Amino acid sequence: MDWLNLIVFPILRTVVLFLVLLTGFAYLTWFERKLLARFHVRYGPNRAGKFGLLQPVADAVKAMFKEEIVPSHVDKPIYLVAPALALIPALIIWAVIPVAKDTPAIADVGIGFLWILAVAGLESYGLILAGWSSNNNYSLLGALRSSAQMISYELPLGLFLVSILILAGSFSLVELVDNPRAWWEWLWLWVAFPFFFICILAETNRSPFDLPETENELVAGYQTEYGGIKFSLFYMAEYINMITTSAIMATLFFGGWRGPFAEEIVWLGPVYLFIKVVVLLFLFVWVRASISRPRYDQLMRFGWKFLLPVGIVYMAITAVLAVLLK
Amino acid sequence: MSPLNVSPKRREYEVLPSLNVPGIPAVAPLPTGETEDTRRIVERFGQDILAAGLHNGLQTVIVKPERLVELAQFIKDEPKLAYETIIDVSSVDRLELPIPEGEPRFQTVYQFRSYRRKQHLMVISPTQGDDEHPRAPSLTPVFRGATWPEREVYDLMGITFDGHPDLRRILMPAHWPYHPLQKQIPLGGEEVPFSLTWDDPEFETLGTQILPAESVKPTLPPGMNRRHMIINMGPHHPSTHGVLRLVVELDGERVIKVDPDLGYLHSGFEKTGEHKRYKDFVYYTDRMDYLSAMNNNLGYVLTVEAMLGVEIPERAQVIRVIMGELQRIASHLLWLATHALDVSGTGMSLLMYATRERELILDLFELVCGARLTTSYIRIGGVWRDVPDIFLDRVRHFIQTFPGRLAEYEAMLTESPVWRERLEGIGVISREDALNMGLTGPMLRGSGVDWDLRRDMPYSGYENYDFVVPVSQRGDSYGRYLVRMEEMRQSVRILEQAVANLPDGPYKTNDRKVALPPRPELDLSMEALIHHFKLVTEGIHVPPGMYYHGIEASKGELGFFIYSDGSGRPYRLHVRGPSFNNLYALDHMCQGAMLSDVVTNIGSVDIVLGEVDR
Amino acid sequence: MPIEIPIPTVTQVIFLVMALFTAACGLMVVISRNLFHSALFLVGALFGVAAIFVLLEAEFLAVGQVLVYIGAIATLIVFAIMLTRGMMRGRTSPMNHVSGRGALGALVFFVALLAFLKKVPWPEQAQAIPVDESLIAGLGDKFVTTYVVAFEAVGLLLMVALIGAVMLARDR
Repeated sequence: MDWLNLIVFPILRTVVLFLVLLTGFAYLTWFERKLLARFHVRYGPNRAGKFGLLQPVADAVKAMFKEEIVPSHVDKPIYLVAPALALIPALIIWAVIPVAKDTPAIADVGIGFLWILAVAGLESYGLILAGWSSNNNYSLLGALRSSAQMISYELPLGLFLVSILILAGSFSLVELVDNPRAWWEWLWLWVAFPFFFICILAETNRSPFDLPETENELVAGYQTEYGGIKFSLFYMAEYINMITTSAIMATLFFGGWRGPFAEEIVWLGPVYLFIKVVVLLFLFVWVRASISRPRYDQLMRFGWKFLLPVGIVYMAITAVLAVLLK
Repeated sequence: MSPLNVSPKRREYEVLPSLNVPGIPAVAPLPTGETEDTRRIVERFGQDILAAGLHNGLQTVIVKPERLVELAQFIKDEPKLAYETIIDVSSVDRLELPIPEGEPRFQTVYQFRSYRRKQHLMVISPTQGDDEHPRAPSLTPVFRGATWPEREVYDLMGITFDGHPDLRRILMPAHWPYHPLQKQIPLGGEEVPFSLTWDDPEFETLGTQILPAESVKPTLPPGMNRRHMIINMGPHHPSTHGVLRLVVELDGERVIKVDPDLGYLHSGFEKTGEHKRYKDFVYYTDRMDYLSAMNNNLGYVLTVEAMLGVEIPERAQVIRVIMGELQRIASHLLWLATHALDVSGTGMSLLMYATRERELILDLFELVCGARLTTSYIRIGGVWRDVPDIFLDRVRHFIQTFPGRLAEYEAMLTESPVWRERLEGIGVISREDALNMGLTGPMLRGSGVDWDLRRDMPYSGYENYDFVVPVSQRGDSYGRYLVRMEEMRQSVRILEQAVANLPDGPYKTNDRKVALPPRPELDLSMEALIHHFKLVTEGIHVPPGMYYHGIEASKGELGFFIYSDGSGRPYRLHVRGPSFNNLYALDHMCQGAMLSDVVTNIGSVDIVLGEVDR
Repeated sequence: MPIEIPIPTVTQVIFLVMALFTAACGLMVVISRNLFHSALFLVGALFGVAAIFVLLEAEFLAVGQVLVYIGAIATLIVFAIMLTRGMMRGRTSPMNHVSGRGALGALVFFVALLAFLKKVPWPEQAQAIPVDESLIAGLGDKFVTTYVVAFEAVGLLLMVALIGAVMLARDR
């Protein structure tokens, strides 16, 4: 039946994906808190459940039962829509990521690369709207910072993506993983990884690039006026973004679902992807625990004066390499 | 809405008859003798100097208010005097003293310091105007550093300073009806005029919605422009280190002006001190700079001891040095932890690492006195008790492990490019500005002034220790960071020497007028019993006079000014907190900087609000 | 005689909804009293257009629309509004002294567009749309061969605009 393929299966897949991502979010918070605690020579959550494994549940219950406060000075519709707008891009970007052989999470759109770029461009809206509608100077500054930062770092990010695209020769992420790569392609890709990772840190507003929400000067940036479950939605967006971008990086740089026997045994694909994602998430937390935050203008300067030229040069070299060696 | 009723209701309360003997209260005697400096001043000003000479060992000049500004300019400019900086401004209300007929009730007291010549000068000036509306000339044209202290004197004592550019209340709320340090204002008993009462219509909306933004009308500090973005940092802000409120005027993210609004933690220590016996105020000093209680104890105790002229046994001196240096390290560690957190974010693990080391020091304090934060260990005449046997071993252990840990922190920060980017060139204070603004401690040394009270005006036997005073010529936050890091290392050096040379002997003075006799003696000696009784009931009697003594606390010069009338309680007690005077530099440091740099600068000043607001 | 009710196809329904959405958003851009809201409605309108592109199976154009217009240009507009505080707080009236002339201009433009639509001989049946890969590759190919002059001219224009912006910003 056609409608089965068109409607039911995608919906089923979407539901499963959302469940996986939301659980992933919950345990990513636990993972991060535990890890950070280890970096900080302390214990981290260890009261709720064994190893504090029930901590996310407790947090969720607490967030949901908090009183919903909408301050009187906010622009109400936008204020309420903003957290959802922050979360949606983080979820829908998953649609094109291959999780096993020939299997994208939702659909193999021919333009997977562009999809990632386009959705990444939407991510800033949630923050901007939250900052603006809160009608608060701290929120506004946070929103301004976030939009400027995201626009700035999207450029080098796009350049690196285009470079990978030139190497892959296909817009589809599924094909990207399926097609074999030459050894020099891998090496050349890994050269770009640190820069790409920096861009990703800025795109996801993660420490040390968490300037939109620096609690040390902007209290909580664009989230200042949010509480309860609405605040949790922003959190959710940030953490799911981390998972998503880790999955993208795993797909682009480390062969996604690939691993020993993944071609023969299909269910090994998601397992390998999961392991790679966890390793990359560890990198996120590690960076957070050890690298200090630059000032806002320094961050911008770094983006425009260092990353962008590096991206352009990298793209140019990639194009030459692709023409010469492929 | 009707204007708020802030007029207080007065409650009469009982005043106990004084236990004082006749002849008390007495006025402080005039200075006698002469020094080179006072001679020069007298030569220049002649009849306008009411008295000059030495008083309690301090060079003191009493000058007519008409020529006070001229005198300040003279001692600043005259190369043979070169009093480069003003340390403190305070005042005395002599209402309850038997002053001669016709003399004004109020006096303003100034402390000047020459770093080059290592000289201290106290200048006293009677006020102009009548006793109800005292006036004094402002020294702000000569020393910028007088701005905040004069505001404080105006706020608490009610003396109007002519020519002051910004004479607002600083510690008390803007609508406060009194000047609380005046002697006729009782301690407590007056009803506190809150800005909101339950009768106010503002509370009708309470519980349904937060107060509408119009209900609290913020007054814009003078000189600020509403066309720019005005941000209110604090009093509840994560990185203002307590209840500091900053009104920040921003153009984009550039800071145009910062106006610190103080007093949220004002608890009237000075007024309280005037109603406590000398020995009882030690416990209050803990609560001022609550991160370096030992230093506060020491500063206060040394002032009183100097007025008493009591000798402190060698062992007590060394124990005091050990405690002072441990406290300095603890305070600097917490500064490092919070500064790193402020500048670089939550993920920074340094907060946890530095507090881990601070814990060890607090454990040591717990070992000697049972308290970790508010120690009250150093008492007039010595220390509370002798240190336990295990203490020295524990300190040695700390001395062994700490330098390695410190090197780890330096490895994380000192050469880290991001850290340097955030600190270098931020909050620059030139040497001249630092002197002009009356900064002290690491703020001063970070700007290239080679001055440390421990070395240059030694107390508690600091002259016996071999240590280096770190000085940075940079003047920026990075320079101050380097200075503080090096200070910790030097403190370890002092600790090593002190622990190695801790002599045996009594841990407090044998002067029975000052320190309690040992318990067994009470059973044998009638005299000891009488001393005990007198000390416990009346406390220590300090001879009439006034004295200022500063020590090098972790944040700068912590000074105590005491005016004694001969009774068991200080007639006037003034605290010169280093945080308060150093915080004045914030506006200067932040101008033209980014919003993030405000946070860096607050951290770099290293304030504790308990001391700023006192 | 049974009355024939034209049953719209699913595609037509979706198109109708998206077209109405786009048109409504476009209208709100003009009549909204708050400039920030106008900018957001503009985003909505752009999104509607992207959806119509998807409906026309032009995914590349749709994603391009989202990427360039919503992701970059609209963000910049919002950014500019947020930087201009006077505009942000105050409510602006959609009616001012040029509104009449503006309406007239819009009407003339609409008529011209209508005439244009009538005049152009639209092909009855489009050629078979090539699959994505070759479509995008072909697009790129055309940019650097057939339309290279126009492409470079646009590039030059953007360059000039960029330099102009830098000059304006430098002034302060």
